[in-house]
Amino acid sequence: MTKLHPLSLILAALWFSTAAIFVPQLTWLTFAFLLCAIFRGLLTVFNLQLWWKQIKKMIPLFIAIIIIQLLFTKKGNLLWGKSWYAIYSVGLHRSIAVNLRLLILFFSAQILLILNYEDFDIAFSALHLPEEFAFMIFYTIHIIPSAGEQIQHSLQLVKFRGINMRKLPVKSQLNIYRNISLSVLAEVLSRSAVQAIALDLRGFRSAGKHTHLLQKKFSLYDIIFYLFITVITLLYLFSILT
Amino acid sequence: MLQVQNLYLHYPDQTEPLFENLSFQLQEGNLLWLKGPNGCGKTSLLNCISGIIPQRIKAECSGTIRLNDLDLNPIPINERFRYLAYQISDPDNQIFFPRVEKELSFALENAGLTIPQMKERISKATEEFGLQDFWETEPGKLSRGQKQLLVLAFCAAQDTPLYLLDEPTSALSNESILKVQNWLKNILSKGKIVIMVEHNYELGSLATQILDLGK
Repeated sequence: MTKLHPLSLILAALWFSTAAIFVPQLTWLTFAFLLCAIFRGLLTVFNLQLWWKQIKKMIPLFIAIIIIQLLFTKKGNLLWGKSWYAIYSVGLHRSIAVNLRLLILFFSAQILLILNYEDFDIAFSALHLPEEFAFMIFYTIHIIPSAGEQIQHSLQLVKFRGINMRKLPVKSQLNIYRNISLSVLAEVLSRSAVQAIALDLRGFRSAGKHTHLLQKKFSLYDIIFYLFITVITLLYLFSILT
Repeated sequence: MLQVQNLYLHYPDQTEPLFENLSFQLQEGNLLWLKGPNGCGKTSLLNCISGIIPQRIKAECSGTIRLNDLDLNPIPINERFRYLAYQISDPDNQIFFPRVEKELSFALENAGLTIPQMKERISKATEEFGLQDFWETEPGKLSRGQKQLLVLAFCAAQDTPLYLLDEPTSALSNESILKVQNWLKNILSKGKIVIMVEHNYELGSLATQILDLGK
């Protein structure tokens, strides 16, 4: 699967996330989710333990969505219960649909996260877009995990000073989290100003012809992938228009 | 030849100018060793020549900086990489990419070099600084000394007539300092001009001129 051109991977993530946003039918959403999961699995590995570990953190959110949708959507057929705790078909449908959308978006983001700077660079240069696009997108996608790592590091330093966060009152814990987050954010901002200068010193955004050391050609896998998503899109459009 | 004439630098938050009528001239193959206590303006001088001051750091700055009859002042900072390579003191601020090879090729790609030209320069810099030992490691995860060598290597790969080095041997082992020393000897013999801020006297001994900004 890594034989795919990076542009194909970006388009795949876009295709899946577009489906998550615009497709209302539960069957098609389930199909899109399965495809997305298979695609991600082929791209990395089918590490179900890791997937479960990642999704486990989102379970409270999924449950909250289900409860809110079931309690507040009173449309469609009555499935179970009565008065305020009555469950209707539309509420159930919506709760499953929203959760599927979130899962697809999460898996699509995982596809993007495996791409490094060079992949974005290769993908955008294939579209003849300037390198700034690749750099900005790469920087934005990776800034959150990188800030997260820095926060973890700061928390580790707090621990080394003998402070047990769990034993602190909630107010003090919140204070520490706030101070750490603000200092990490300030560091990210001040570093990015210096890094922008350092990039310019190496000719970033300079005039004249730019070349690329790493180049990748589209392969047969890419053609198969494009054919596949075209066929699925046409099938979907055919199903909703007829 | 590098000519710096009547350089004047005044930071807005300071009462006195840092430089007044600072002039010097360097011929091909010359190394200028910048000395002086902290805050005397060693890095500021490198920033003036690189264009960081006044293009990115705002300060009152005037004077002539000419490299081989080319006036550097009107050249934007992101075009100066064709004429000079600048090693900033903190290597973390100069390392961005997920692979050593990309770090080495970035400026070369921006200069529009062909793939064989890039490969040749990368291979030479890799050998010169012993980068093959950590070629596969993600640059962000290298030790400070290894990062420093990587930064020096991509400066070397730029192959510019002027090199600005801000404490190139900080955090380097004796073995690595020797690599830097050999590289400096090599580029000086090829007529390159080097301006260096350095506390290592052995490396300073390569200097053809010394400028003590503390005096």
